[in-house]
Amino acid sequence: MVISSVDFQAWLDSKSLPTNVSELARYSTIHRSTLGHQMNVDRIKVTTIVTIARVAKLDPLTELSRFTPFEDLEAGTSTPTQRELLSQVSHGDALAEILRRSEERHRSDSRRQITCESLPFPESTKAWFDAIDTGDLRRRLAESSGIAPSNLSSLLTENKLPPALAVNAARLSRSSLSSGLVVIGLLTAEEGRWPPRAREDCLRAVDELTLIDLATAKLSAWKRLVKRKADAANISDFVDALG
Amino acid sequence: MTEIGSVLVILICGALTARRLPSAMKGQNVEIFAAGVALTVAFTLINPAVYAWIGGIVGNGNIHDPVSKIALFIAFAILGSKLAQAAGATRAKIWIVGRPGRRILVLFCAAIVALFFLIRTDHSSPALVDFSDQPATIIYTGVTLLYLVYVTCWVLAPLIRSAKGHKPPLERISSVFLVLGLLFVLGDIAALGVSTAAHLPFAEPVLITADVAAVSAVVGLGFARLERRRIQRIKQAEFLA
Repeated sequence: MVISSVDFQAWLDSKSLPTNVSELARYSTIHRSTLGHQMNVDRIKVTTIVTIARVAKLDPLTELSRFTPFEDLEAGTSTPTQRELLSQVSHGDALAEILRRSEERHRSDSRRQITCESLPFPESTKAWFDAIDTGDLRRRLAESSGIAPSNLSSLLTENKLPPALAVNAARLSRSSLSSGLVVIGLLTAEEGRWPPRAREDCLRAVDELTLIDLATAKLSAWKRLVKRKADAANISDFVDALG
Repeated sequence: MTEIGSVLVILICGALTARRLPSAMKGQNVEIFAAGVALTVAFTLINPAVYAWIGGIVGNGNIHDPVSKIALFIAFAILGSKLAQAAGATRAKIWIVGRPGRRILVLFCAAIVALFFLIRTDHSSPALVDFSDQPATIIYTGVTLLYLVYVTCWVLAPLIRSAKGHKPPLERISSVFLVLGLLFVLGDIAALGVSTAAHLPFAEPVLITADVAAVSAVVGLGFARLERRRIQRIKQAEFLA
């Protein structure tokens, strides 16, 4: 899923934006060489379009939908499900909500509000992917995108899922197409048509048992992450030298 | 006995080194792969059948014997440096492959070549066994073992220290085999000393101990490799989970 220079130029033209690389670089604050390179190799990055749309005060989601690879993006966007929203809650957010409720029980005057961690946070893309996975999404996405499953897993764990794959994953799982772009941090929640404070409200609305389950799951995931980092560090001494 | 041992060592070293080729081509632990190749070459050159065949080519000579010794030195220097790295022994690494270490290696290589030319040989004989009655041959073999002992002395204690504490089972097994290999190197020079003192031919015990040392070290490295693959599999499984 590549956005060609021709389509990009046509889009710039349609929006009365500068089509000259130098002028566009000055206008968008994207480095001239970066823009020039993308034009030369005929592969315009999605981030470039989003950045230009933001500078031009256009809606990034609508503008992305004007390009063939993302033509169904706006039409396929809906309110994220509770599962998706809760997947984008970090262990810190879940614990903060537990503390907030506990505080509220003990102090009637407590009106503390929590604000969820900004996206993406460690493994948030993987959490979202798991939330929309109804079965064998990994295999289907790998097959349809021509990417090795192990590479896909690395991209998910390292929060490096490219926008095209994020949209494709949402498409295959029949979930809101913009959510993936919000989760990977390309679009803000507002730009992705998420209701204001959607994650915070969702977290506030869940019952106690769900919240405890969520916090437990998030803590387990965090423990796995920390353990993996520790294991990776252990490799470097003995096994890294001899293995 | 020594012939079977030699073939087994070549097979084990060759197979385990070949297993590392794909990862070495990706730039992962190329040094260990190079050490494996050098070790396999060293042991192949002193295999009686190969030795006799090359001896025939070089006119009933033994020139490939010092070549095998130098290959062994190179293998041991690389291996020693990696063991020092694994044990976090920076000083040991400097004295094995750093500037002083390289000088010592060159010195030993020169000594081996010089001593070789002092030995009177009239036919091809693996490890110069048939000339073991000459003092120059004993010194020649002793100098060979001395370099191995030199490297061993630098890495043995740090390796034992680093093996202590909580370690995954495969890493522990790897450490045990590597330490055993180094202990057999020390045993090798002891075997030479005892054989010489008892006026016995040194070849058999020295060669057998060297074979066991090489196999222990290579198997130890094999377990380290298995541990790396185990960790990689765990990581992959976690990605897919």
